[in-house]
Amino acid sequence: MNRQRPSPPADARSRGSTLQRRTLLVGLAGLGGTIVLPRSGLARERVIGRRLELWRSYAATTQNLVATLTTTRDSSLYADGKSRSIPGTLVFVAPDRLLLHDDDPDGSTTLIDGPRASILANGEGAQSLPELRPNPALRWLGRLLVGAFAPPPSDPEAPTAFEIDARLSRPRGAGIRLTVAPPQGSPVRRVIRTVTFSLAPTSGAIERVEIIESAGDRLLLELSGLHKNLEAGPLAEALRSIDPRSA
Amino acid sequence: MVWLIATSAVMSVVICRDDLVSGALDSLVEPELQTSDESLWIHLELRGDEGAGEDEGQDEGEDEGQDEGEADEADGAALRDAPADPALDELSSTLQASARRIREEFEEVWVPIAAPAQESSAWLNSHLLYMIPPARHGEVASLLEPANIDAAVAGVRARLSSPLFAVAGDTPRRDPLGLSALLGDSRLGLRGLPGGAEATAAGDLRSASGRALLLELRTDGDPVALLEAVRGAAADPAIEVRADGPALREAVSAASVSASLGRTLVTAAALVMMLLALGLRRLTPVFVSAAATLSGVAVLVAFGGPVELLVVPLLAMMIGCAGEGQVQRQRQQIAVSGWAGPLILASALLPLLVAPYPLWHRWALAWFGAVAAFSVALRLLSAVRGAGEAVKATGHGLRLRAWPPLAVLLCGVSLAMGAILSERVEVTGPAAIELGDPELGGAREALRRDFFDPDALVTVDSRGATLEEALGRSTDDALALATGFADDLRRLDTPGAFVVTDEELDRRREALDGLELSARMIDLEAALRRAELRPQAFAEFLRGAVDLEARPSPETALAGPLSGWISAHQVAHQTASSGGEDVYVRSRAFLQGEPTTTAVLGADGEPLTLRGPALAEGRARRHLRGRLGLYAGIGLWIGALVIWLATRSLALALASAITAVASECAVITVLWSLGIPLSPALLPAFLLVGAAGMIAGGRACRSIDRERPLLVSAMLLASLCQVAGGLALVATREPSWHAFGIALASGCAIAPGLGIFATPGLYRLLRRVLREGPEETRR
Repeated sequence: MNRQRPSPPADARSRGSTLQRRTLLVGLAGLGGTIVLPRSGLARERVIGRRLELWRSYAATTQNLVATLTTTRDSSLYADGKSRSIPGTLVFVAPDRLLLHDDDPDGSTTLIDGPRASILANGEGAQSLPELRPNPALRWLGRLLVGAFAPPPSDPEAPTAFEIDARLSRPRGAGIRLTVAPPQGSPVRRVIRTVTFSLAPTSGAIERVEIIESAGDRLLLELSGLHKNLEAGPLAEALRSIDPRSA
Repeated sequence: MVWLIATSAVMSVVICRDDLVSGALDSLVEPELQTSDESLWIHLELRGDEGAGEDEGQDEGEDEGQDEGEADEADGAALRDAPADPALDELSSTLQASARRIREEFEEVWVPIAAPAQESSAWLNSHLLYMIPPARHGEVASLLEPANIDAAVAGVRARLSSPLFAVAGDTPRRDPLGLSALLGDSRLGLRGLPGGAEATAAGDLRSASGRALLLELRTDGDPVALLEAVRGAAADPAIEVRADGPALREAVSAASVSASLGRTLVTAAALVMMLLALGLRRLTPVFVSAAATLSGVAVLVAFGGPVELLVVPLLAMMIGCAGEGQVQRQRQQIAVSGWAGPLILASALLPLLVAPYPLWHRWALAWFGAVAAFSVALRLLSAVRGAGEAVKATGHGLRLRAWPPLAVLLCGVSLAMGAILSERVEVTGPAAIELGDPELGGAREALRRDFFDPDALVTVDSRGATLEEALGRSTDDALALATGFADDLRRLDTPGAFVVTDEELDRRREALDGLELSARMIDLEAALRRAELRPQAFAEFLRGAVDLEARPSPETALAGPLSGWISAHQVAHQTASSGGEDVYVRSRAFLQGEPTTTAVLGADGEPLTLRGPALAEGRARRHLRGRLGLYAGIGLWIGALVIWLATRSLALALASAITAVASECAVITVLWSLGIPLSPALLPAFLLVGAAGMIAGGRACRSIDRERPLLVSAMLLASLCQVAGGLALVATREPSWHAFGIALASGCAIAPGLGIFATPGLYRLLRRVLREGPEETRR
């Protein structure tokens, strides 16, 4: 009784081998995905971690900071639709005081002092906003800008100003940059889209801050000639020259 | 036979009733303050850190792409300050996607809570000058002076260089002169409290944190089934769906009563029967007591009406008091007289007839009937085979020693504590009824945290012959609400805030015509050019401010994009006198906690007809402490009168009354120490403790009067039966029953203690003061 099992038809054989090949390919792709995807995520985390570490190394010792500032805004409000650049000065005093002063009399001086903020017009007749009404977007942006220049928390595990109530990413392209965006669903997103900080490759100092507003405007703060931890005398002199309240 | 027929008849009436169980929770609220609200609040929230996690997982290139795209559209986007791209937000946000699915699937029952953001912004931009109250037209004129226009434009130009320009809180593109700051009180009705929850593009509410959305559904169907369907529609594990609302609370309450009623009553009955069997050492009186209790409970339910959440404790208490009555019948040595004890118990809740709580009016009378029915049934059943004959006392007799100093000390401490703590114990009103369902509790907590307190909602219905007229009337009512509740208001949901009546529009038009708006807009345009700003970017304001032909009248609003939202405020007629012709538009004021006022005057100087649990809550909080003394006083007077009629001894009546009030004060002390708030729902327990104290005091005095030892075991057994009724409630999960049970059990446990240790001393003292002789000399 030698019963031979009937061989499957040729098309069935080829379908079987196709299925096996497809299964094999899917399996390999899945395996590759499970290996590569977490690694790419980990790599991204590592890059962000390194950039934060670079920033920490500079900001950790900051007690005060004076820098030359160039403010450039791209806005559809300007007559010719082009950008305007204004020279000025940035002064930070730890723990949470930040002043941005335009040298132009048509410009303004922005003061962030802890939770309070104001925008004072430099010109005599121009309307100022001496006490901005607290709102989620103001709190978020004010805290981020001050925190970017302030010393990071002493606990290395504690979140930095870039990580609190925000999502942090690294933009593609050249330069050591960190992009901070409001969390999804946050009302802040309706006003601010992203804030990108560019760091100096060697020192870790903040060289540029780019704010993309949801209405389409773009504001660029470029810092140069940074002087950190000035003595009390020069610092007071710098503040006196730009702080309208000291007048 | 008589008992059997009567009880069967009452039972059949009870069983055949359709509304045996009800979920009503506003029965303690005065009828004129009750509101018919079918709202089901759906609270959607991102679970944990889902939002942040999702963001971090995104490719950073996406951001860049979005930004570039929006930068390309800068010209178009610059003309509006509201969300740069609401459609994109809608699609990208998990939360909004869930909300959209719910809106689509439940289109017929979904209503916008607030005016949709885009439509309301467009409406305000078009009618800003008309919306500013005439009292501030002087300030408008000042802002339109050329020098001020130059200053405003120079300010905008100067602020452009600030990184805080976009987050400064003003809207220079829509309103470069800052005119919207002059909107005044009506601003709250338009946009809500600054920094709080905001309207979404669809008309739902978004929390200040952005992590939660609130939708409103209105249905007269089954809210539980609707909620399940909503959960299915949301269908996203990242989203937590919670719900709250009057209809849902009532459904949960009804389910809780249905599920727990039988168990609670059986537990109470089992405890009482066990105590009676152990204490009396005979089974026949236990069965007799059970049968008579059945009669009492049946009469209570038959006359009281549907069994609600707040009423279940009364049924348990009926069982406890029935046990007490049977003990007295079996051990008549402890009775004040044959009828005084049952009469004091029956009349215990009668003081509630003067209280402003409709539910208690009905049940106070039903309680009287129930105790009377029980007493009669007990007498009838006891006649059978002598089951009720008083047996010889088997317990220990205690010859009470009258020690006035101890009596004064005990009663003094209790009264002093009660007097002091009655001012400190937390008081809640009739609307703040907490339910034991943890899911509902979580929803309410989330709603309070992210949006508003659903209990602090006040409504007013504006009437008119047509919708336009009602809408016009609601403008006055909206202003009255905004000014009347100025300190308490968090959000005002009223279409009246968006329209102005035709007569008022004519007046405002005259005033605005005097401002030479066209010339002022030319000045503004010139100032913008001088400041090198682009006038086209402010075109919406430049056009809208001058166009006084676009009037925010009720007719325009009903024909415009806000019509859907306005129609959602139309409610069914509430009064029969209206003849079915009038139209009502409802305005809702979301308050912050207890309102400081409960009366608001309308434009005609007459008080508005306000409705809402918040008003009853506020009124009850303010007056309950004072009324508590009144109710206790009436109860004491009735009890003392009964004892005096039974004994003809003023000293005995007064000593019993003091024992009763000391027991009530002890309950206040217990409530304060356990952090249980005093509420109208606890009033029956409070009064029943007073009655228990009165009876305990009367028994103690009577034993002295008769110069016989007090049968302490019988007295304690009687009290234990009442305590058992309270303990059956403590074992439940409903917070209101739990509080009732603690008050009752503690009060009924303290009352006999005061009767044994304090009342004899008081009685002797009072007899000495009143120069009252022994019993035989008084008759």
